Amino acid sequence: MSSVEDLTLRSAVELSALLTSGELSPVELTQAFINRAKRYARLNAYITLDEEGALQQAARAEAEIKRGMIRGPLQGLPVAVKDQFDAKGLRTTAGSKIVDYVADEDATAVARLREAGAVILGKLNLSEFALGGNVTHPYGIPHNPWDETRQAGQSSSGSGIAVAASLCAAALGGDTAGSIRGPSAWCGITGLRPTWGRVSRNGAWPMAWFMDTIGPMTKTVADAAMIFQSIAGYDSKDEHTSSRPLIPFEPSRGLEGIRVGVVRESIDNGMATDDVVAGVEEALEVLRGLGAKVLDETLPLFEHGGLISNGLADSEAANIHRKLLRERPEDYDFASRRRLMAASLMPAAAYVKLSRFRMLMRRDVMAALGRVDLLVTPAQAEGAPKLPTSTGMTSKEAVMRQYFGLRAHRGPFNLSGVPAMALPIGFTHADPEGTHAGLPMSLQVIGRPFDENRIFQLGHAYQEVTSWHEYRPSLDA
Amino acid sequence: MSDLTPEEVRTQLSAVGLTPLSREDLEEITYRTNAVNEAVLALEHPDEDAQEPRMVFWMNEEGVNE
Repeated sequence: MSSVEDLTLRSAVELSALLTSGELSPVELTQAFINRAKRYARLNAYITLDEEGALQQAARAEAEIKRGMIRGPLQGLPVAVKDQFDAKGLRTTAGSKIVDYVADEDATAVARLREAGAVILGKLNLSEFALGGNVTHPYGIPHNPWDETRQAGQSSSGSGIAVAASLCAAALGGDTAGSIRGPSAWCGITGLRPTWGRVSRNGAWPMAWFMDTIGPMTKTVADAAMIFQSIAGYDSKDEHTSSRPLIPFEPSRGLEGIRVGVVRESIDNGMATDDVVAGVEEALEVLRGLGAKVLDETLPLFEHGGLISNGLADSEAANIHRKLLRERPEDYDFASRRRLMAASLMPAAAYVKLSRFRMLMRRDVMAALGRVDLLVTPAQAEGAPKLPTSTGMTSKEAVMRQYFGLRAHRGPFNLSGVPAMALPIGFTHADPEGTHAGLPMSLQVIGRPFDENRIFQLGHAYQEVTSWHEYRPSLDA
Repeated sequence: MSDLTPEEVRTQLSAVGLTPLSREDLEEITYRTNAVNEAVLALEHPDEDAQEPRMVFWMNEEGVNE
């Protein structure tokens, strides 16, 4: 690797300092990321890599920096976005065979990255229509860079891969029912699902209106805070965005006085593997060492999070896809098609009942967040599983076990609209057959509405005294 | 509650303009439909009747809905 390519392994904040000080050329850095994206194309992180456009943007950023025109910390930083979001002049596919157009306008989050001077490298692979659960992938199966025989997570799979494998400095993902936190956890990176309404959804393909969010997927918490600050805020094109002022994140050392509640239902009674439970316990020890007061918390409806979250999200998705599902069912992945058709049959009474249970879940989450400052759970119950070849839904019981349980750890919080972040906390034991030397594990940190900064505070303090976020997958072995 | 049969599911799908593409499609859609119906029916909570469904949480600024 060249010396500039060595730099691609660094955090976005480190790169930002080098770029804005003029020590690093945006053009050279962009070229280095392009080279890596092409060298590791087998991971299928990108759907569209915009070499020419990215180098032009980088040249503009370089000229501005040379003139002393500094827009902010993202200037000249090569980033990539999930192909669920429009980027002007680039193809949007939503990870499907069905959607294929060149966008006339940027999604608001993409526009804000550009306004801040970021270089848009391209569009990243994802699960079909951001649904998650599809088995076939029109743009290649996303491979986990820590073990290429395993899943990268759904649905922001390309974003997780691209950041973990240093194919971009940072990425945008989308999270309806766990699609930022899940891939971040399995790819060993940091990923923030913001408070619902904090980041505009304008220009994003919807998965489920009332839970869709857009957020940063990055190497570090400081990176996530930097990207979040750029994309968040009111947007007249999304009526549900909040006009609350954004308070810049100021890192502080230690966690003295912070109360952290461990959701016992998320780790007790086999709700996570032994490796993950041990990883969470070790992380809690680190937090105690930083001055946090760690307490037990309870969410009695926790185990139903997957059912309520998936039931509601799929019903909304089925309505979004109703016409395409009638007109082009053969162009959907078979797993997506079956899932959406089944969701099309959900009785209205069931939808209303799940909506009421959503409110009960939210009531419990908000009550817990009234007793403590932050909640924690594992972000994923296990390390990344092998790539699937079938849905595995071979009985009613299998659906209940696999599908409703799949997102139980993240569902309660997207149901509640609160912010939540996946934070890397170590690795599982190595695979005895030698396919991996350990898979990433992750802690989910949940905060009060619009209190992303406290989540960043915990995560940043943790990363100040640990090095899990500095590990990089070995791609040339 | 008894499970829906594949043919009953096919009829329901037809009523909303959808057609399964294969026997495997119909089988899995049937499993999924029966699983959701059974799981939703089994959900119980003493405070359920006191909750009104709401989809949007933060419409009123400054924490009115919190």
